[in-house]
Amino acid sequence: MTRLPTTTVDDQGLRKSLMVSGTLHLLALLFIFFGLPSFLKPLPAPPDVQIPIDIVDIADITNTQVKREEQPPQPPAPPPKPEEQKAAAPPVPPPPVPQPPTPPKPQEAPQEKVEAVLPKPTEKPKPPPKPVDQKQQQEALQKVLKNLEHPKTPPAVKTPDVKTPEKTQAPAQPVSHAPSLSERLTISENDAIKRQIESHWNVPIGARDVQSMVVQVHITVNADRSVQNVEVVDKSRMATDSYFRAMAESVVRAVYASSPLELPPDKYETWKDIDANFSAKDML
Amino acid sequence: MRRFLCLLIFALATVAAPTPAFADLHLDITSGKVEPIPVAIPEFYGANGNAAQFGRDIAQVVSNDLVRSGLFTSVDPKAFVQDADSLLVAPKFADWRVLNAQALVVGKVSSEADGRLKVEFRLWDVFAEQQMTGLAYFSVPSNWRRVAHIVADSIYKRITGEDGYFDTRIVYIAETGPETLRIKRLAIMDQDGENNRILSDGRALVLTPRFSPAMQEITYMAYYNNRPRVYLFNIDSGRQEVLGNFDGMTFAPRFTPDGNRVIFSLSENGNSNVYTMDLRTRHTQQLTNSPSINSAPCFSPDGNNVTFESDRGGSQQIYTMRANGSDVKRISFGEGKYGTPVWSPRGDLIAFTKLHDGHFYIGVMRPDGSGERELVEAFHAEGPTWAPNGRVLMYFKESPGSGGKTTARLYSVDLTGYNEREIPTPTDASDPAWSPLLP
Repeated sequence: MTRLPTTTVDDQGLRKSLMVSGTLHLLALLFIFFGLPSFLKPLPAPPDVQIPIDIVDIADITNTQVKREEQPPQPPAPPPKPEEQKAAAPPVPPPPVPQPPTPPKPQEAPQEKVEAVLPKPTEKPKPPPKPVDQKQQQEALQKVLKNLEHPKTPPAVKTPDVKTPEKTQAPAQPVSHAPSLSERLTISENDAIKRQIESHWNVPIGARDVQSMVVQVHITVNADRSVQNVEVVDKSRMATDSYFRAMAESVVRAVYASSPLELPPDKYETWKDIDANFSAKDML
Repeated sequence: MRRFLCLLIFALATVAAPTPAFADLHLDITSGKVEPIPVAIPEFYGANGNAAQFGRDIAQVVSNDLVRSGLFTSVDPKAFVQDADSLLVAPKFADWRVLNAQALVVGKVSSEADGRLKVEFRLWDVFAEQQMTGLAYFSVPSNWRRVAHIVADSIYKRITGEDGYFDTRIVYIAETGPETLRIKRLAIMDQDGENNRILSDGRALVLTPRFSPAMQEITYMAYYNNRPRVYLFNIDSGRQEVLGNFDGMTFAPRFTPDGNRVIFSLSENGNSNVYTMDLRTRHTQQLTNSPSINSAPCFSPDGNNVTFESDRGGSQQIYTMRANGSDVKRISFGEGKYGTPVWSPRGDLIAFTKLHDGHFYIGVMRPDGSGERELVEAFHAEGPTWAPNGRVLMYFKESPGSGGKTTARLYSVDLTGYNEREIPTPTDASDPAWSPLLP
């Protein structure tokens, strides 16, 4: 007679399993108690975030660079004013800037005052010339007024006359530097000139394939912001495609009709040559 | 050696490096305005009283044509600064810029020794200060209107790049009489409403006249002897002939772009199908064969495709197919019923009539069915026809008048939807058809 195998209750094993199970259960209970959100209490309010706001003129931001105090009277101010103040700057520190910069120029008073305006671009890279603050501007203005009263002293500046078209003027010095960031057009200046040309452009909207036509032109502008020449880049297409020619001619008419262009007068080097692409994308 | 080469290349590179060029200011202009172009058209100069009168009339017709196209406005002659004598020598552009004129037309009329009239003109670009075009025409004095239209066409084409459409004629149905006893006669006139002429006597009802693109012929449907048939009519000789002897009703005829065949609908056994007939051989070819009503066929300007209306899908819609009848495709999918499709001579649009919710619309869509635009909405507007340059549409509108009487008038509209104008006709008018440019 064989003995039936008996199973022995392993006390140690049972206790061990019990302990593990109990721990896990306890952990689960703790998790439920602390981890789940309580649906009875209200949610805590979100923390107040303080956002500091600084109101800035767009021109200052889009034209990033060292902000020099002589910049403020620029684009936002109407053109005649910066003319006066800018032109007033040269006479204020007489020594650093030789008034008639190039010897070959005839030393006539009218020529002189024109060149008083032109050397401006070369002035800017020079480290100071004394950031013209308000007080100095006032003094400069006074000097201008006084000068006008005494016609004997060579009128260093007679600012309104500077606007007369001086097509024959050659650049005072061979200026050979690329326009620095401060001389580039800001976004708002860009928009101003765009809007001006758009308001004069009569689009031939019913032409065939007008949605895909792009006309590229090269515009040369005089210093007094009048348009000197408008040239269509793709001349061969002008001769073959009559729809393209009609659109190109409407573009040329628009640019001539927009003259004088609304451009900041002191950034002449930047906008004396303009490349423009015309298309009717936003109208269709 | 190697080192020397490297040095040489390096030196060249530094020397050849581009000097810092000024960054050209770059602008992207992507919109503008849509306004008529101001043109100044002073009277054409005439040496004697007769020529001067022609000069006045021709300048007036040219000015009317350009203004009625909606793309131009005319500068008021009273505002002109430069006088006529100095204008003959050379235009003073500053004087014309002041008036905001963008183009200037300077013309001259003179009588030749053999009695012919010589009309010459120059078109100047006022802002660019250059001549845009200069042409001269000779004609008999009685033809002065056509010369004026041809001058207006040249100006239109030079400035807009599109072919002009002023030297064309309109054939239409002149309607007279009360509603119940309407007399419909075939009539023809210049596109500006002048030189109106009645072609048929009104005994039989005449409908849907269409011009031949090649010859001075019209095709239309008429109810002679109460049988609706398609007829051909030669404008110059006045001869009329019937297009084939079919058992059923034939209607909605049109010419093919080369003028050699007529495409029309033939109704038999309750169905209507599209047929073409060669005018020289009188051989007919059936293009559609479906148990439905297929009508109002129209060829594309390149002669490869045909558009027509059909109700094979359950409602009246517009379909296109190849010229041999294959590859039938439905292109209208909007709400409502579509009919009378007409392919633009420019090939880029199909005009149609749409009836939806009790309103009639004249619209255009591209040949693949996209870009559908409704241009005109009316109580009853139908039957669009294209000008030969594919830019202007003409159609007729009926409006309910007083006492239950409806008036039908012809209207034209630019394909942009603007510039809707009524065409002056002596009587009520309907079913217009535009001729091609006169040769």
